[in-house]
Amino acid sequence: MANDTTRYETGPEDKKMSIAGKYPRLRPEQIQAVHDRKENPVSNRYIAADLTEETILKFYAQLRTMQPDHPSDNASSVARQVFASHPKSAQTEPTSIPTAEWQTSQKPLTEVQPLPAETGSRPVEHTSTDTAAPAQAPTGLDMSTIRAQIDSIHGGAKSGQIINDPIPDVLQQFTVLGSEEPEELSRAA
Amino acid sequence: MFTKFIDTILHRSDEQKRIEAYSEAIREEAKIGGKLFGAVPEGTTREFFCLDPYTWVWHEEWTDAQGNYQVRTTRYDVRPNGIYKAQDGQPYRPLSEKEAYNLLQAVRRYNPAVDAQLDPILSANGVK
Repeated sequence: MANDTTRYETGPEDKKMSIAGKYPRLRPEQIQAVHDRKENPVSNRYIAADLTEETILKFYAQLRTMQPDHPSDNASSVARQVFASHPKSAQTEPTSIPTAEWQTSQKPLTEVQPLPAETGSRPVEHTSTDTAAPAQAPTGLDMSTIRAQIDSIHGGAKSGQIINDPIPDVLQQFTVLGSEEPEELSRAA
Repeated sequence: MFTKFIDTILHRSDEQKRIEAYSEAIREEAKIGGKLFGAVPEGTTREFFCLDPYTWVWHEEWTDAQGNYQVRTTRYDVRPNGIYKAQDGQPYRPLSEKEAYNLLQAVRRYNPAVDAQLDPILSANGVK
């Protein structure tokens, strides 16, 4: 940190050069792509983030209070009301879920258990790999592979089949994230 | 062979360049998104990203105790009738309330984290 301060003390021109040297020079199409991801009014990632706590709260609260002897109530109609403000609601609804299936889904799902502090944020299934040597070095995200996998996932849902069997909750890790101090803060302390 | 390679690069259409650049931008976001969940264990690759306005993807690669290379991709879909997820070719399942909140937290942190990393790069490239 001290080095950074020293570097910038020499004046604005040095700082400018430092930034230019630190960050890659992007091609015009790369600049456009990054800009579009943030600003494009149709597809930007901020639209995707338009998922509010109230929406989720209301949705699940209404599901919990639904009475089985009210056949006119169903999860889809509840969802249509509470998700109405989400942009996807403008699309054709791909699947409607009968009430019975949603009620079944209220069963506790088998999820990855909270992690001990010393194992960091890794899901339990992975903890045994701590000492294992990688059989193959991870190659990072390959978009063509991802898209193929996503297509196969999409294909699996084409029948409209929705199954309530539990699958691991990879985002369970958030239950321990709140107790973690960001690395930068730890170092600063 | 080298000439053919150069020829391929030089004759990419603007549309191809745009698509590649868009993939690259998502790939950068995915790396940043993967770090939202804390430190990534050594030997593990974790990616989390917004694919489109309705879809979030978690991708993880690691080596299990038997030394086998593992890959898991989870897709989260926000639909008019709820939030669903599909994993590794299996059919969609509705998200539990708890996991929906976890997703919400991830979604909330995603844009600020991505902006913090990419805005300076855009600035350095002359984009205000």
